[in-house]
Amino acid sequence: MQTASKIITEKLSFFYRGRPVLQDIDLCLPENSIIAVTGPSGMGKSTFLSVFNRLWEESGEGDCRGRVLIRFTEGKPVDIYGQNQSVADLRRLVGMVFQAPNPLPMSVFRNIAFPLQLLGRRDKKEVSEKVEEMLRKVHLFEEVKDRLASDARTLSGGQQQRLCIARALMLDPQILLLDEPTSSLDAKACEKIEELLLELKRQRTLLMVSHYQDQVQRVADRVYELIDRQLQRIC
Amino acid sequence: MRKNLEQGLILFSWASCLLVLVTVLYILGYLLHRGGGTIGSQLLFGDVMPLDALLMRRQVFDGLFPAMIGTFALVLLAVGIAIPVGLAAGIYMAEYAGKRSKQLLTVLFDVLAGLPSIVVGLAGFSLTIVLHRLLPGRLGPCLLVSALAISFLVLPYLIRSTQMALESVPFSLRRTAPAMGATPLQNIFYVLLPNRLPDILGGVILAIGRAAEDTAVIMLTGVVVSAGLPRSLFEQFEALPFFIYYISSQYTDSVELQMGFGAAILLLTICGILFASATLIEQTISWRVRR
Repeated sequence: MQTASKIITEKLSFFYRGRPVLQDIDLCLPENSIIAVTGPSGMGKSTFLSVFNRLWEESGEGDCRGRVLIRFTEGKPVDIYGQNQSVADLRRLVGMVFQAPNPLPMSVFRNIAFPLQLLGRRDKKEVSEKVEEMLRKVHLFEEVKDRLASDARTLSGGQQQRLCIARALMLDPQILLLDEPTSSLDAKACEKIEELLLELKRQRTLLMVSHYQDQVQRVADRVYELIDRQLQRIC
Repeated sequence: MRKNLEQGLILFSWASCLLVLVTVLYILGYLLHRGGGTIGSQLLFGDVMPLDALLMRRQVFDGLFPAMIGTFALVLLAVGIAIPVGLAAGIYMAEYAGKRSKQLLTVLFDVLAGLPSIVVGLAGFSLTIVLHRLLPGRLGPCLLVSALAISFLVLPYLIRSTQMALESVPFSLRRTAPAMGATPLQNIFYVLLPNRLPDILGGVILAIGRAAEDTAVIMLTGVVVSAGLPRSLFEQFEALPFFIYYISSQYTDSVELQMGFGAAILLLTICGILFASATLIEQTISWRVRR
């Protein structure tokens, strides 16, 4: 079934300290799918992901050229580097999960509720319900329901990563960027995350970087390889 | 050869730690030995009934109660003034300053940190003269001017500890909140600062210690030997470090000298109480943040 393009890049190039990392990439990525990017280490896969939520700007060392358009709602796609685009708003619509689980040094509950805190939503009932909903969505609620007040860093690696996914889903992003989300996890935890990704793609677009070819084959709808600053579709 | 060198280094490190520990214990023991016997209501209140002094019904002129309260007030006021300024400057240095301005400000703050306290005292003294000319008869050397001068003295500790604390936050944690749409200010106040409170507390403790011990600055800006309890910020005051300095250079008999040792014990106790309070506040905030 043909679906509408969610993400479009036009002559996307990225330079790190003047050195080209990505060059003239043109892409049209469909919605409600998992798109995987593979390739050797150090080729710029994580940089490629950070272009879509402008997170590279946090390091202050980079230069992104070309256009990146995202169709957030029905209608015309939006240039995310356009003058009217707020970075904070963009990052609420484009969530991100990092390679290593990065729970904030606070309780499990507060970690998941943190995105709502940023928006100033403090209604206890609403926040509690939403936290439970997200924990259930990532199949973590039963495992941590008695430990909601515990430091999130005391959870296992797999639990921490699912917590980070739940946190990223809290604001219901339309796109989820996943930077090698299972690289630090054991096989069983990997399996759980993969099942979760397949569930999540029903409602959003997932853009994932992964080293693992077998994992990519299992979950991705489309696979690209990043070689010589270019993306080549391999499946 | 390499193993011997390593063992030698470990031995030297242990010996250094032991030396510091023994020195601290020696100083504490010596103070307790010489001044411990003087600790009591006579040392604090002299001939005045403690209740009368505490309720401010009578002034104490032959005890250390006013100097103790003066020291407490001075430290709290000075650190209270310096903390918001130091935190703000440290945040600016770590999060907002450009490369050039950071280099320039680092040099300036290092110069400020290296200023001898007598120079800061002179600056404070000049301020009192200016204020006295502007408001004749109303403002001269007083608790407020001393606190301002001391806050200036301790500012570099707070700036540097805040800056270093924020700069040591790992990038993986630093980018977590922005990836969820946090503004830079939200990231600072919700993630970076709460995470580095213990490091910032280190700077606060240093500042408390420095504010409590300094004599040169207050000598030129508001402290006197006998003033009683200050009833406002615009009055002169007594302080324990100045009393210790005064009594150790002017004592006429061994009883007076013993009072100096007693004052030193009181000063250490005040510092201990303030350090413990700062730690308790930090732990309470950290606990609330992590819940």
